[in-house]
Amino acid sequence: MAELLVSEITRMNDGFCVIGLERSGGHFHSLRPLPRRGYAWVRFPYRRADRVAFDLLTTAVVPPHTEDRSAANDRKVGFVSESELVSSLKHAEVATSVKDMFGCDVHVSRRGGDAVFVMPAEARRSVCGCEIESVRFTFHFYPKIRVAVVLKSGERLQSLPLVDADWNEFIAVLAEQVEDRARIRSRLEELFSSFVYPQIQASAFRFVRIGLSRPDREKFCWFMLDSLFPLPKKSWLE
Amino acid sequence: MSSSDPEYLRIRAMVEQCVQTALPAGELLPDEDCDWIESGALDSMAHVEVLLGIETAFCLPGLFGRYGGAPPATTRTAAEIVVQAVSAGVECDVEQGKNIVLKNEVPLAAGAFAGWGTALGSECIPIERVEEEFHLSSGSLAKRTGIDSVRRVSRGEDELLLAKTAAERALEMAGVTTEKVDWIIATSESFLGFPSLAALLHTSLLASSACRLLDIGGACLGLLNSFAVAKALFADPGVGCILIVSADVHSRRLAGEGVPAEFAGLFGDGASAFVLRKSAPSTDSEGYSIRASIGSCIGTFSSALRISIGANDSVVVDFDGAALARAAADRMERTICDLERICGLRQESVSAFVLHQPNPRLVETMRRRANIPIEKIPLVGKTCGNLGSSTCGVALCTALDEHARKPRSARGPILLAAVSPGMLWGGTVLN
Repeated sequence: MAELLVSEITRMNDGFCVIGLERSGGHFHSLRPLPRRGYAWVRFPYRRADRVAFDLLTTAVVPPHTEDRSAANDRKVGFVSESELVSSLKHAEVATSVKDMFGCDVHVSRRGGDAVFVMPAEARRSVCGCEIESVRFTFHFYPKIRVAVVLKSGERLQSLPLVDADWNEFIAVLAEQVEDRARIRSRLEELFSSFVYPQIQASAFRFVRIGLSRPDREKFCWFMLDSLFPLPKKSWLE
Repeated sequence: MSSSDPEYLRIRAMVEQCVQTALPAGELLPDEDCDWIESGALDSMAHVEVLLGIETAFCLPGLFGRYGGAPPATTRTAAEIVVQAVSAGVECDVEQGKNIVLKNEVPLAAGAFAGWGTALGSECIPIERVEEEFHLSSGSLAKRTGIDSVRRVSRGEDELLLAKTAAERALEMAGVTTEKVDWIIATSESFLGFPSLAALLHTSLLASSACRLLDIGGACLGLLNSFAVAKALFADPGVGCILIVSADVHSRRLAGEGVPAEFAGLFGDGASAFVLRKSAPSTDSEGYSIRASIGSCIGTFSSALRISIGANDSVVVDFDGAALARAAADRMERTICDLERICGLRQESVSAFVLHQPNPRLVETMRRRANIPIEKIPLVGKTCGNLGSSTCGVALCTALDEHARKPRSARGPILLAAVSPGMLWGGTVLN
């Protein structure tokens, strides 16, 4: 039985991809508990910062998703606060520069946007944390959302697909409140500017976890925004 | 606009080009009404990238965000939104971009190249001597970069002298006296003092008291930035003539201990100058003018090259050569593709590709990837080294020498692309 501190719950097709932190000494490392079939949990009854016990089995991993483990017999054993979770994440896989995130060269999309990818065989892991200076959401292609983050190093990741389930859920709730559906994108931008960005900037911790997608048809693994801390709060909507 | 309208067909073809970039090699395009996602042609990631590519291709950033409903997922829907936007006169970010894309018209009052000139450091240093000077193993720079020699200033030369020499050559070719110059735009990545290079040049050239001055940054992109600014300045009816000058003397600036030898050894010294005069609508005999420019910054690679001033005014360079070269080659290739798409150019119609040349090996990599014939790239780096902001300038002068005298009907556009620390990138099309 292994205990994981649930750090990521991300949207993956119609389900959820989950990552948890396993303690080893004073540090943590990320493991990705997989359901019996596929990569995504159709239903995952826990929340981020929950401590969940699993039976984990080493499975045949395909780089760069070396954190994959087959999981069964899950049960909640406790939970920690958001700040404790971030503190734990800072003792897991972290980097201060884009290149160090996955230990390999990073390439920019050749398709027209500014998304970035790595080659699967070159990356040594598929998730990494990083402190950030600032963040900006783009609702241009809503309901698909892209996020730009500026790292402490001054580097910028301009176009990260938002897969963080909590943030997507928060934005969906916010979007339901917009009456003029034709203006939903500009309205979301206004709402973020008026109260979401100030909350993020005021937070004591601004931290992201960047994940890599499974290789696409061209064998590219794209950067995604798995987690953005602070997590959104219902109280912000009041 | 019906689906058989030539304008619609052209827009659809451009949309299909954008979709093609996201398909694995050899895979057929989905039908016009086939849903990109449902058919499996594109995944969610590629979908957004393709839409961004379409917006870039039509110079219509934010286009799909302005329409209600879900983002388009078929070629027909995407093409129809573009058609609607164009019909409604949605503003383009690239000046006159709509005309560029849809009608291939040459912009009206633009700056036409009336004169140009270069000045290189008077000393030609073989690369073997550079390797010795920097205590590098024999052949290391030559093999890694393909540079044969670099140009360096002699004791009495500096940025101002090179700039002045190049400017005088350009003014003479244009048949313009300095009193006629309305603006002097100067760019340099090595000149750091005040009075600025533009101010010193104004004095040195005895330009008129009505002539205004501007110093422009951007390092290796400085010249292309200057062209973009000049194009905008010509919108002022009072502006008829602009002198643009680049000058870089790296051999002194990069001589300190904080600069890695394998970096400092790549650079040479040189200058370029261009006289642009406001042009009327084009005639067959007219020279090249600035047609379009694009550019921005990819902060993802900002740490690949950082240059700062350390203690005792020394220059401190922190660079990751491999990462920088790869990012530069990727971005230059994409800039070329974007310019071709935005301006509706076919690569074979382009007379010359004026590219920033960090070193000849990188140019060769870019050339092969973009499938550009070698004779269409004026090579500067091999014999002069990396001249910074003047690399594109000296290469452009070579291209203009070869093509500018030809009748308009017998020559094609000149395409410029450059990158610089940041990573800034930019591209310009001269027509």
